[in-house]
Amino acid sequence: MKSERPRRVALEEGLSKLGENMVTLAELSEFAIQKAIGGLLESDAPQALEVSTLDREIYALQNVIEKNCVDLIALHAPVARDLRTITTSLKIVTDLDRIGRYARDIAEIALEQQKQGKAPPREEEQLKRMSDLTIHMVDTAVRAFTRHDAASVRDIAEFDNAVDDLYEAIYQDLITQIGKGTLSPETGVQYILVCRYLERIADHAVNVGHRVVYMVTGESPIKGIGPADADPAG
Amino acid sequence: MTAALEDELSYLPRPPLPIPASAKPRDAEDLGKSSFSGVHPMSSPSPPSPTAPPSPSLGAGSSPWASPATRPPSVITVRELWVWAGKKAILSDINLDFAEREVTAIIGPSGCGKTTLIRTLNRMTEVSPGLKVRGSIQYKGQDIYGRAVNPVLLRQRVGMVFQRPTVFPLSVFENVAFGLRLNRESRDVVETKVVDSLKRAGLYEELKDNLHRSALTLSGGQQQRLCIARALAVNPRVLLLDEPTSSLDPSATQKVEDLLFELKREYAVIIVTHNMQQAARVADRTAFLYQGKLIEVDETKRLFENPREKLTESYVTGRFG
Repeated sequence: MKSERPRRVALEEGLSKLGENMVTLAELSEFAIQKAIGGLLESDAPQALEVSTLDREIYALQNVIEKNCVDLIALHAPVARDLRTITTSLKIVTDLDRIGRYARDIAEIALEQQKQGKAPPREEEQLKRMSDLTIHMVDTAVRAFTRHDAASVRDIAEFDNAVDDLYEAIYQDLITQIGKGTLSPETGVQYILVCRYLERIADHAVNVGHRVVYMVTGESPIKGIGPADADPAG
Repeated sequence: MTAALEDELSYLPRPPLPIPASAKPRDAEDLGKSSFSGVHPMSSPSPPSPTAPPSPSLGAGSSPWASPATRPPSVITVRELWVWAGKKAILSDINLDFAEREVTAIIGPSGCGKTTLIRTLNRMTEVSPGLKVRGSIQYKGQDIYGRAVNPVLLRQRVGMVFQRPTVFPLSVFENVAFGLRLNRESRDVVETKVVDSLKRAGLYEELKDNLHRSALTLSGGQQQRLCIARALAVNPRVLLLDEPTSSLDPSATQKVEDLLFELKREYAVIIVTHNMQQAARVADRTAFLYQGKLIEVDETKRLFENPREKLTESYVTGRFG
């Protein structure tokens, strides 16, 4: 097939630019979680303060990417893998934006803790493990997106189960401490919220992973993810 | 224009006139007695040439043309269709079902055999000398190349609209009445069917005040819809449209596409188009041809969202063709 060569130069350039922006957005989101957790566990206020800036950048870039996507659809009428890449990007930016927001929420708790002169929580090790797992999940999902690699995220839900188990364990531990009076309810609730935010970040990473599978294969790994499952009758 | 006009005129019945369509039911048996005396190659189907290339993978299991339970019944069934021009195979082992009340788009790069395929569906290939056709094409279960089939009646049941409007240098009314008069319909029937056909083609409201103006004074879009009205007047079940909007502006194109949406409530519509977005907009199913082979046929949504074949993906995303 002599004539088979890329010919949609403008679309290719647009998709390439979209891909670059998506990588930047993903890196910013990952960076935000790392800074937030660092701020909390290392009692490092400057790190925590950076997260707010990162979150604003994430929000701004999300808007740019949405505009990229709408322009590509309007101008190039993409189909098949091009369309799946664009619609997946549109969905993933929301997940990445939410991850940025949760990171900011964690950073705010870190700053509040430091303002009150409180030491890092006793569950530091478990929280570190939970955040490492969560960051790994986000990293895996984002790499899968940039490399169009569906295989690497097939088992991402298993990591999510591990994060859920850690959340449950830390939660029970904190409740016990509050019950015994060794931890103030206010501080206990803040740590529970941190765990909850990490658990939600992991859920968003799973969403990203599943949408990458749809983007690459055209098939949804689970019911309810991707347009293929949205409206079987329509 | 002249060549296209000749095409359209070429299927006017030769004497003796066929049985009037109005006297016959619109069903499988209504293709009449053939006025075609020669033995067409397809009347005695033979296996494909042993030198012919193997069938393409359709990527959808062993029977990709099988209709799911929810699809309307098939009105035209194509099996193992081969068309040769001399030693060159223009179409190779085509297997396709065209369902009632569905729009099927046929897409593919220039020279892939799209037009030849739809011309086989109402025996228009017979007016192109040098084409050899093998295989089976059934209209409602009847072999359209069978000896008993009257090609004139076949072409009324399986009407065709060409790339450029082929209006006759007659009035609007007489253009639509043309086939009816050949069928020797009564004046009342002609009057009723002309108005009905113009309404179905979405033209009546625009032209009702002067149906006797020359059709040549109409815009290109109106002329094309007039051709559709003329095809509708003789009770077709299937409409073949060969790039019907390629010479029309966007507004006229939109009107024809809207019309297709209405027409598919009653007819099977088969449209050849170079415009993939048009296929995506109007068709329920889309077939992709490449170098005379059927590469893939599927629901249009599936074909444009997640085609099974790499070749289809490359074509619909504009990476070749």
